[in-house]
Amino acid sequence: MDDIELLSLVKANDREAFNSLFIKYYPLLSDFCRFLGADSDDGEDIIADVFLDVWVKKERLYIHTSLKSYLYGAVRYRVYTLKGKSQKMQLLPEEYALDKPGGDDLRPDEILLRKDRRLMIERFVDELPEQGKLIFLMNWQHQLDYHEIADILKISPHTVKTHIYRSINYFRKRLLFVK
Amino acid sequence: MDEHHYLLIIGYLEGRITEEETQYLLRKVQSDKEFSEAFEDIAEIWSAKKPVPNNSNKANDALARLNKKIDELEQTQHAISDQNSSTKSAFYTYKLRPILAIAASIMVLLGVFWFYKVQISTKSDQNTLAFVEKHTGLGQKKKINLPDGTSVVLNAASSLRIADNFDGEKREVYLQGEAWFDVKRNPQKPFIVHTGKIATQVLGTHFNVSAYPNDANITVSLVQGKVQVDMNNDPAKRIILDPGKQMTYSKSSGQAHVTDFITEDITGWKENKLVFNYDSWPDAAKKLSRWYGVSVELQDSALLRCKLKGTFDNTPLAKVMEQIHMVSDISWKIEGKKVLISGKCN
Repeated sequence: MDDIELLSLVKANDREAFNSLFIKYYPLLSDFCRFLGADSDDGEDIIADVFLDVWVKKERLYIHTSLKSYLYGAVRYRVYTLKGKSQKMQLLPEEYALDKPGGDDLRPDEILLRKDRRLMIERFVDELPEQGKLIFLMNWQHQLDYHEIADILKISPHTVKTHIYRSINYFRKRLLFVK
Repeated sequence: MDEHHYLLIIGYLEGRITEEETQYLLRKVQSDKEFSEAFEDIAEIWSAKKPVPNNSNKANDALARLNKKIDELEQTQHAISDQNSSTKSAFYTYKLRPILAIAASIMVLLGVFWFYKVQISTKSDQNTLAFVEKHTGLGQKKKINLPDGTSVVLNAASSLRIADNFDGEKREVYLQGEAWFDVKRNPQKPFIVHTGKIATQVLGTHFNVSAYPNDANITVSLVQGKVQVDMNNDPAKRIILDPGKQMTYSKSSGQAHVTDFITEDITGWKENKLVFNYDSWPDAAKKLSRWYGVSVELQDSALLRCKLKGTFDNTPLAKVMEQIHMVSDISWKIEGKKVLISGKCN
């Protein structure tokens, strides 16, 4: 079932549909909280609050874009309210820790090479300026398109595109340097 | 390398670009060295992407805590509403006041009607009804008061015919299109709305029936009271609706199902609110055409799959189209009495 169908079931007081939306979006939103610099406890509280709000207001909830953009937008708003906009992003450490051994069919040196490449690119991501990093991660990691990102961050799609363009240019310069 | 080409490559890696764009990109990779280098770099960056961490235990724990919170919240709300039922009744009288006002005005109208009716019947003994059929054109709405005290609001492009023996044992009417019924209670004389194969029978209640000939479904939505819906005169298929429930009958399959509905979504049209309630574009186009008296042409097949949700309060057509345009990937054009819509789902 797609989000529109699930949401209309939620509006008809269907708790199961509500639960499946939560399970679907929790990992994404939790990762997004991390992008925004919220620790995992704060992140969990914020996501739960956003969903509680959806449930309480379900009858008069009016979503003019998509549920996905709405949820991301609501999470972002709450993180900023909690932390203040100046909060620095603290990325990567968790990613390193979670990193599992690579593909099964690869030789050890290939695994090493791949892992190195991955870590290298992750470092490049970390070197991006604040806003650029957030936008790039939303596009790259979460597969949100320009319109969705613009909608969530309340900026123009043009700005989103410019940021992505700059990030790619930066990576290419860094890659050239490595090669 | 310009921004457009970078974004094209990303679009390709994400599987988001069209067939033509893919063809263009593949040609470019072969012919343009700078482009193919950029493609390799971006493909490398994209291949380094890891899936979003998915810890299902954590998600389930968080969900369990959230559900507990909701349960507690709903219990306290029940407790509060049980305690001060006085606030509740105050709330209802507040909400009922406009309805009472309408009821009062109906009474006055009814009084006039009654007087008129008596006058007519003393003059000629033939027909006790002032009319047998009422129509509305595109973009029109009409309020009709029936001799038994029932009031009906007829939506656009609809007609209501009253049975010859309306004053007899049963109060029967025939509807094509959409109408809101506020039926005067009379247990001795059931009120029946006939719409094709569907007959909706009530004693006294508020409900909405939508049965346009070119719509796929017939819906009966009950706000207050109780109604009994019969299909094809088959008692085995009888459905009794409770308030807040809506029956949707599919003309093609002959099957019906019952769902919940939000009152405003169904009855908004009475207050000049054009409501789209997850309508598909084809259904939305029919609504627009009835509401504004225009013909609507969908120019892209991609639109057939989109759904539309929104409420427009007394809004002119161009503004409605502009607002839909602002939140979705459609473009529109009005040519005289014709609206052309193209684009895709967003």
